[in-house]
Amino acid sequence: MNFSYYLQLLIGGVSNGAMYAIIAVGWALIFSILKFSNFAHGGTMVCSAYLGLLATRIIGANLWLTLAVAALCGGLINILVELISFHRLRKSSKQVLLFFVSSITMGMLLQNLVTLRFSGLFYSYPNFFKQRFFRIGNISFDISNFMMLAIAAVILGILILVLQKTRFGMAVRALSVDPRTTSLMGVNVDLVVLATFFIAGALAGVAGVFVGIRTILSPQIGSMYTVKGFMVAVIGGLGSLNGALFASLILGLVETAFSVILGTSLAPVGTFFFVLIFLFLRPQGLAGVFAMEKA
Amino acid sequence: MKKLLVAVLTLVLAVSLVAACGQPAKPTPTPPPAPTKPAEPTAQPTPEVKEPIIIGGITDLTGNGSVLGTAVARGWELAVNDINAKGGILGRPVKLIVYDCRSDPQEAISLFKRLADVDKAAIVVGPPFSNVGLAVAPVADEKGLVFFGQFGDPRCMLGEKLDSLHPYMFLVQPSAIQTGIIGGAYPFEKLGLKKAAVLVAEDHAYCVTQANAFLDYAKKVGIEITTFQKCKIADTDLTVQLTAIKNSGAEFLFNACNTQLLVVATNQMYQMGMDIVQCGSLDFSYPFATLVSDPKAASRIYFPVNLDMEAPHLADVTAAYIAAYNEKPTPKSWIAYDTILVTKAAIEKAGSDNRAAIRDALENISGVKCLITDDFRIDPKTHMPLGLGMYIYNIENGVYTNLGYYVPEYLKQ
Amino acid sequence: MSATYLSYLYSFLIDNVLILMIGMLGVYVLTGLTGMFSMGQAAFMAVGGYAAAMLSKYLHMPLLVTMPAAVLTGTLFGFLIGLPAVKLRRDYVAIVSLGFSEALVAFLNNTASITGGALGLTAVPKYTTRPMIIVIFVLMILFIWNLKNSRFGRECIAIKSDELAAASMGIDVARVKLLVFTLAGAISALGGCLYVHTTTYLDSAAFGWTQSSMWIVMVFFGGVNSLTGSVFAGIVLGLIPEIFRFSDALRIVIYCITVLFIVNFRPQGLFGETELDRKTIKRIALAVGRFFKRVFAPSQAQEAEQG
Repeated sequence: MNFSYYLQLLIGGVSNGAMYAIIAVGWALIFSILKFSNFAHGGTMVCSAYLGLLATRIIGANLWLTLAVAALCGGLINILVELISFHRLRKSSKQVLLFFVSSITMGMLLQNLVTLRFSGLFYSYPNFFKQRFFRIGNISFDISNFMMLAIAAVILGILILVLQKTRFGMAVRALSVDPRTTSLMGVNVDLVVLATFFIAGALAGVAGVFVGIRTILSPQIGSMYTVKGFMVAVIGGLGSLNGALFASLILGLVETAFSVILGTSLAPVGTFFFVLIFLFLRPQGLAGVFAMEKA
Repeated sequence: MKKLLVAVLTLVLAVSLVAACGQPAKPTPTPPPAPTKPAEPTAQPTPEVKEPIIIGGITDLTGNGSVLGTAVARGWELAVNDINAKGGILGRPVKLIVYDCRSDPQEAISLFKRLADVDKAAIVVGPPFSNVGLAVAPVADEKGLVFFGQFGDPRCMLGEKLDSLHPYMFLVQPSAIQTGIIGGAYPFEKLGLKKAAVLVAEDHAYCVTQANAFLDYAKKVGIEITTFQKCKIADTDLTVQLTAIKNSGAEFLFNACNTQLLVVATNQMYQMGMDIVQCGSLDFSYPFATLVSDPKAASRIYFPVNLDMEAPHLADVTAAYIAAYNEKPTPKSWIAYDTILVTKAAIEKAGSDNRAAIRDALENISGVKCLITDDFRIDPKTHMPLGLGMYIYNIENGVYTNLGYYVPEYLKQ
Repeated sequence: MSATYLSYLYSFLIDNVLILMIGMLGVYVLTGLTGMFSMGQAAFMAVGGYAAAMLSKYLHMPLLVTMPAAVLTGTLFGFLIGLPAVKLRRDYVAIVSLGFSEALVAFLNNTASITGGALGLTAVPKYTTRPMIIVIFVLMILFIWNLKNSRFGRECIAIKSDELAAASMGIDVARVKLLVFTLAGAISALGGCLYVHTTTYLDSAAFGWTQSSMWIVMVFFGGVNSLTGSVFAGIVLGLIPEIFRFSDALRIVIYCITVLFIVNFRPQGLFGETELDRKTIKRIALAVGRFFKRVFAPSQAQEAEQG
């Protein structure tokens, strides 16, 4: 019993981590390139999750189509987010905290629009899977969790490849170091930023669908889970993409471990001290390189 | 570029405004049918100018409890529309003023004062959130205005030690304590299960009250509690708790969680191959069974509801609800509808919209025919409804079945 | 616009807006003055609130005891959380305070037998009156005003502008930051004390990260360096959802759009760096006077200008 018990716990921890990962990857993308956090991420997530739901209701979309619809909607919403809450600020202000103010208000606005339309009933996605889980002996595996982790990892791999190997990636990386010089080099900075936001929004859309599959849809899922995304993105190494993935998994496992040691109720206290000690021992984050700091 | 951007910004904000305005399902209170038609110079006696009776409402429309709060607001609105269509109360039209408290007790207190002083409400109906009831209770007494709601926590009516009475606080549904006992007694008395595990959402007031009531009951009748597990509303993975429950040898699980966690727990229990009986509260009712990932997962579940969900007299209200809001009502909406019906009866019994008279009438009200029951009565000692029938529902493979009226032996004594 | 409505707005302004704004003043010291970013500042309000609530409820202490006790508790927690937070990078302060607020909620829920947890603590004695809240509020503003114009305040602003330069000028950055963190905790805790003695009810869900972030929004809306601006913004943003109450659906939308417009088109905030002090008021009065002169007696004004 003991071995399978711990194995099941391990799986639970990983699956929690997978959810953090899929939220945090989009978050970390913005953070690593633009050096600020987009707190409207949760708003984009919940909006596209509900739009994905509409797709399943109206055209009976399957999982992949729903993911595509949600990703597309998320991308478009995030472009709006960039235009409304970041575009002018990026030019006129160096205050990173203003980005926070602007984006958190935008997130609130998005969540409120969802609340206006969809309050009154909880919704959930239809069952996309013929068999949602499989069991080996005593241990059960949830397919959607593993899919979530796999998708987060694959997207991350692709992102890293694109960033390292393509011209677009080069432009993005240059932008993250110095936007002014980059634009002098003939790169259309606005376009690159918009593209980045589109990708991050698409990731938020995918995350929204998976969080919706894991629980049920309520207008609050955005604000409930995104703070974790922020935590992970920062702990992961201030904008390192792969750091965020590992930080998600570690946070998921640590939380599960503390749930067992301290009881589920006091687990956040343990996690808090873990994070504190971790930040002290490794102030550069998991990824190990200091990102450039915008004063 | 700058000008273009300004234009885009303005446009987008305008669009979002319009989008928000154009929501069909906006639970704003409908204005009453024009109370005073300009008297036409005819031979007929001119209709008397009639002031509307004002019913205030406090609920959550945009905060963390917006889903339940909106369902409740719609129930009120529907009932008020029906009453107005049939000629109002005491021949006067009814005006419903609903305010959004965002589940914030501080804001709820202010809103209650506003309804009392500015809007001159005759009575205020309340949301299914105990924290709002607890915070408002002293203010309701101070203002001498009835607050009649779906709070689960009996402390709203009876004070923190349950030994005093807030004269102006009333409850329309069975308290979380009653629900906890009835829900937990069924597997013990009827199914003969003796070992229970408890899972509670510790940051949800209703769930905690209900779980404490069950623990109390279990101790008295000798149900063995194998394990007591806590979770949080934002949890999406309950492996730790469920594994502990699985290994504890429990025969049934008292699941004191909100809808969201019930879905997560039920899905995961199914995946982990746990086929023990679950019991709990109203939160298992519609739409719960439609939310789980596989209908087969929603099995062996027993929970009490204070109304017969298939009763023919619900059909009209249900149809009207779907027509108005394009969504199916939940029991929360039906109970909200009833709140207004009982309010109407109380005002009629009081004979005016005098606040104290309404309070006195409500305290001793009986025999009100509403959706929940044909004979709604309030216990003057507790301000909670008396003898509300609790129907036990069973879910097997996602299908709800009414197992009939049930009062535990424990409560009969 | 009836008299009862206005008197209601007045009571709302004091009972809801001003009390939460005392919590916001903590954020002003922390973020507006020193440039640190705390996403869990509301937790300190909860700390103060619980300290005051439990002392007055269980030990029947009067306000004269509970208020200093709440402030002391806030100071203590501010110090304890500040100790590690100021040693870390700026970005991590937000994480640490956020983690603290989550841990605090978990702790409260776990000690429900004393703190009430999610069920809440009822029947806390009501000690406050509206004039008292106003007086405390004004005193806090005067205190922070003096702080801002003191040597310590200038050190804070120096740290906000450039930490490295401030250090090279001989400012002990870690010490100043720790002091500010502690002070912010104390101020927010005072707000919590007033909150609980006004509402007489407290539960663990009251002070989440959304409240903390709303405070940061207020500080920036008013003008980061301007105390009077932040206060003005706090009042405006606190009242907007209430004034637009006739449309429950749209009031939050209106709130968000207002903030977005200001942030976009006046990123320095409403007041920018300007304080509404004697000099500014005089300037405004002069400008208004000139304007009226020009409107009502254009010829005279012209003559005056020519002469």
